Amino acid sequence: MKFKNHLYNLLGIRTAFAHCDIPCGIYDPISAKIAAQTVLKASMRLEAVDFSNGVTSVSQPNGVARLIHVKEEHAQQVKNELNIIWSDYFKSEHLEKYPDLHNLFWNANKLAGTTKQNVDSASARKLVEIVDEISQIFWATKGVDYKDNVSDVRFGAI
Amino acid sequence: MNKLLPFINQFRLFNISGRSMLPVLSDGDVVITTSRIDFYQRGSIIVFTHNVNKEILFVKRIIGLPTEIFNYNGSFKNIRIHPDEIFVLGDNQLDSFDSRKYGPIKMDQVLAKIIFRVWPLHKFGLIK
Repeated sequence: MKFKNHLYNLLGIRTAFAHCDIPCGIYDPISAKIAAQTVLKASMRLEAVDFSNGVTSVSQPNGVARLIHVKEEHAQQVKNELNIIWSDYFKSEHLEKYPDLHNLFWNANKLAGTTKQNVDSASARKLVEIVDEISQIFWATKGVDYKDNVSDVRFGAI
Repeated sequence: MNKLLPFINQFRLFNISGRSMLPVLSDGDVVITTSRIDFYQRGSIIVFTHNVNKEILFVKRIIGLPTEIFNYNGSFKNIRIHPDEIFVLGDNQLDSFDSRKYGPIKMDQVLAKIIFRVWPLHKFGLIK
């Protein structure tokens, strides 16, 4: 790797970044938190759907389809956002200080998968909590005491 | 010689880092670019600078041209691209940080268009 870097310097080859995440080392788990809350809200709304009287309007299945779509999309977004932070931000020295870090990300990914496969607000709630745990560690590595004071207001009513 | 130097000077070598331009460009590819701006068009893969730190360079594909009203997948609203801006996307759109997140970029951020790959040797050739 060192030889390659020397060679590139010698030949005047500069690096151009085909970035797949936020460039310049800017990371923030808040995107994952908002996506996880969206999954929770969609799950709760789906659980509240009552088809016991049958489908009387096409808007009912349309509404359900939209909720499912949002739930799927945002569960995947939770995975994407967390995995970028997991693979690109956290380093071995963080792992030494927070040995449970890998487990947290692993569990968050599994929970995100569960919320995609099922309509399960309990899992979605756990997903939000685990994203908060990861956020606490993330901000602690930057010397910041993490508190999402507007979490409930952002989530709003069902 | 006076005519040859400007011709040679338009070409630069860049090393690609990252996976947002997959499958066309891979991490570690070395490419040749031209700085001739008359070569830029929709579909061109360009190298451009960060809007603040000009030392940081990015690679994306031009999708929207100046003055166009643009609607990309995943967005329900149209974006009007300013006369001095372009809209860029990574080819690997599921995993790319591009104009969908930071909006159109200024034309004066554009440095060059990628035209040729020299490394790895088995992928040596023109880039479209």
